[in-house]
Amino acid sequence: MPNLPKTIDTSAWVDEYSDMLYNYAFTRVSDHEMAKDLVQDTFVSALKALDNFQGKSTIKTWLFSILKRKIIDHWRKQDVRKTKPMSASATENESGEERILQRQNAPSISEIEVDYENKELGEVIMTCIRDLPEKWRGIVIDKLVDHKESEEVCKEHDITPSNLWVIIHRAKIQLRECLTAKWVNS
Amino acid sequence: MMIDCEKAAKIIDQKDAAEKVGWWSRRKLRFHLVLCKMCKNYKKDSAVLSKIIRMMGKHSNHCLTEQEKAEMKNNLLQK
Repeated sequence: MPNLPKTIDTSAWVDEYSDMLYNYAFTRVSDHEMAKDLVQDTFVSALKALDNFQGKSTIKTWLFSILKRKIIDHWRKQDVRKTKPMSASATENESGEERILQRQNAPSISEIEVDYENKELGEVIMTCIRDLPEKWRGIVIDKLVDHKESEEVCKEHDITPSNLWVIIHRAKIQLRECLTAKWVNS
Repeated sequence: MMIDCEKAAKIIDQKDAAEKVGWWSRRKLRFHLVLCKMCKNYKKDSAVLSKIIRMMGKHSNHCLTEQEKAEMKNNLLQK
């Protein structure tokens, strides 16, 4: 049974959902204008698709599902612009042996005391995640922050399961280096 | 029984990502870690990194300005 009125107050949507949608988008694309545009496009798409909304989920869930599709489209467009896809660069440029060597030489972060109230450390890791290549960032957030199923992440980002773990591993190495530079050594 | 460092790293990454790892793989990893200091260190770092990444969601609180929201409302009214 549909629970959404067919005439809606778009201002109320903006007041209620824009910040959470923007936060979600910004964390993934790290670009204020792009995140803002994605939120705006989400609302526009929702308005256009209002007749198709069957009320099986909440408006919030529905808006987030639209936004997620838009972010995936954004990542795919970014991929097309690159001469070499990220999925390939994660495997072809570097052998497993080189990755292991990279790991061996990386400084350790095991001495960092993780305090969940430490806002500064939270901000540093956000900066480090923002410094990751765009596609890696989405994969890391989906898999390590949102704990999505691997199958879902692979499907959304159009990568193979083995590529997923190569990207996760390389991203973690880069994050460790970033944390060492921006937290341990500072 | 013996796995290489690449396989060990993959199991460590999967475990830290809350992925299901089979009993046999965990046993092989444990055996590898007894012999490989490098992977043992990576396991420690990976655990710390996972904790820190979980903090990210907690501290991520970006908002739009009131002016930007007003502009968004205007744009939507025109649609």
